[in-house]
Amino acid sequence: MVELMSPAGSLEGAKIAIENGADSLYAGVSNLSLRPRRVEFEKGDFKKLVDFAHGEGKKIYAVLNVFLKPEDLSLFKKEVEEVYQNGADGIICADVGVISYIRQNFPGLPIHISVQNSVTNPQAAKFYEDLGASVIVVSRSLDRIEDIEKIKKSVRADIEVFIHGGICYHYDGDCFLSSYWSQEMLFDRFLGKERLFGQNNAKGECHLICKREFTLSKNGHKLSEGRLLRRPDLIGLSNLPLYIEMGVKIFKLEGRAMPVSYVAKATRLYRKAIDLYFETPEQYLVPEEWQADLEEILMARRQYERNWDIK
Amino acid sequence: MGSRIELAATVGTSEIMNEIDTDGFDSFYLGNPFCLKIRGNLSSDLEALKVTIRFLKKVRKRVYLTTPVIPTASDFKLISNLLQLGVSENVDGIEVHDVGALRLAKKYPLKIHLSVFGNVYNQLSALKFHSLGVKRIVPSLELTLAEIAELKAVPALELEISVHGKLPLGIASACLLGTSLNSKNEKSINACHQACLEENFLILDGLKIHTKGTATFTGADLVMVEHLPLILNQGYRHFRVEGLWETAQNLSKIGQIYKEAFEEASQGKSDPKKNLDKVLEITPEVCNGWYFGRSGREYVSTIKSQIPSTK
Repeated sequence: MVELMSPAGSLEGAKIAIENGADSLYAGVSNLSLRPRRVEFEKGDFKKLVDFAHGEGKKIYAVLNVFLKPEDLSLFKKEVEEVYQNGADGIICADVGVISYIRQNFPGLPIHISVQNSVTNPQAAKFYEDLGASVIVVSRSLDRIEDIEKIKKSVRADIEVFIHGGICYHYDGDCFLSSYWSQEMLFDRFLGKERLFGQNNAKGECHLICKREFTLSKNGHKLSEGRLLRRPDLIGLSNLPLYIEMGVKIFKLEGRAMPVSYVAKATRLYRKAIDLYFETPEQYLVPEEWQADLEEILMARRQYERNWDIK
Repeated sequence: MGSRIELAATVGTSEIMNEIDTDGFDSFYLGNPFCLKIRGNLSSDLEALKVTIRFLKKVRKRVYLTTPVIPTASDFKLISNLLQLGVSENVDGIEVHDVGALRLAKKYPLKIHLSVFGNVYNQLSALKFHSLGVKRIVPSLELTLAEIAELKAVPALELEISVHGKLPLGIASACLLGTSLNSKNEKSINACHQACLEENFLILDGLKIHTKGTATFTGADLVMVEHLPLILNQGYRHFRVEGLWETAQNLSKIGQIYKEAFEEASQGKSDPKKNLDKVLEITPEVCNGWYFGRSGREYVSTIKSQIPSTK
């Protein structure tokens, strides 16, 4: 069977995701995941989330996928110990130093490679498997099925695909647009000290620059304008059979920072799709009546982009 | 760290290589890793690359080859060829941007450099990459000079500091210039018109960035010429001018300016204002990147003059 992994930006969101068919959840650890602080979990809350998910028979993965600044190393070591003690079923991480540290100090804790690592080729997948990863998510920008299949065939680790959600213009983990545009030293009430705000890779404070309206000009002449860098949302409903048949194990939905209603709708839709496939694999076709649900999900994402707030 | 200063330049094409005055530089990174379709790209023309390597060796320059920045499975034949050429021509090192390419490069007797896309943000990852065979890294762009200093905890690892040029802000899987400029004609979409060789800007609320089709670069050039004494005092000896999008004439001039500025600084006779004025004649819009903990597009100056930046 395959696993549908939904986002948990709050305990309420986690409950709703499970009610709508999620097999597992991923949730950010405070200050160490690439999403706004308001959708990350503090220590006690993370424990409650783990207990809740396990009580429902579901898995819960902790997201610690920032690239750590030197000053964050001690916080990370403390937090990863807590996450381990709290019973997380795995850790989603990106930083090679972090991966190596976890493998060495918590040998039984499964490591999932984050989308931040933009795995685009079999050699890269093997690199992370060599480091001890047990789940590898392929790059969200990898749109050729044959490239995903080659990665799948090259490793024993489970392969995860980002099945639905907004995608960035640049490859994940390789974008410095936000902090080039704006970063500043501000007081962080969670850390109780000043720190730089506005870094995408290191602090998860993406300003969604690539979703905004740009003018493209050459020698002062306007060539084009509009949301030139915005890429269409990923919709994996049609490709679902291809992924399942090549052996993809986990299907991840985006949305830790999205409204709970979005998570509910997206989870419900992809649960239905997976179940439909397994009922009659050879007859799988996306039913026309799902189009309205899909439109609602896509509209919610566009609305979210317009109301973006990094705090 | 050794005491001898090395100033490297990145040169993408044989056209630039044929016209450049190499005198200002000690070493060269050959090839444009961002797009293999660029006319004259040394990375995709191995005969021209071989001729260039031999010429540079003859004039006693160090030579590093580079590999595609986000390779998919189909790029690994080329990466193998580049590695073999590097060995047979006895180059001084190979630059990788991707951990898959790193995994392959380890099988060859070549000194491995890891680019900024290796996302080395802290000493844990620096240490891990060093243990995996990397001899030199370019620290993440988002690090301040103070944070980069923490990476010196791995003394055997060479740290390379970018001091000038257009810094990469991200890599995309599709060419923006192809799709935005030629979308009316299907034939044109698939053909490459080399639009990236012209000056195309993306503009948003005062933010100006260069688009080179499949990659995005800073709108302002990184300029660290007035801060060289500070950087030298911190013990770094390997520096780079990002020259991919410069004309041969400008790159030659920049090489000379920095060569003289480094000589002066190492003798304690620096004249930052004179050097900065020389650079400003070539490149009107400047920034310091992230070195001083400000937005990447800002310019921090200790000299009391008006510096035009894109902010």
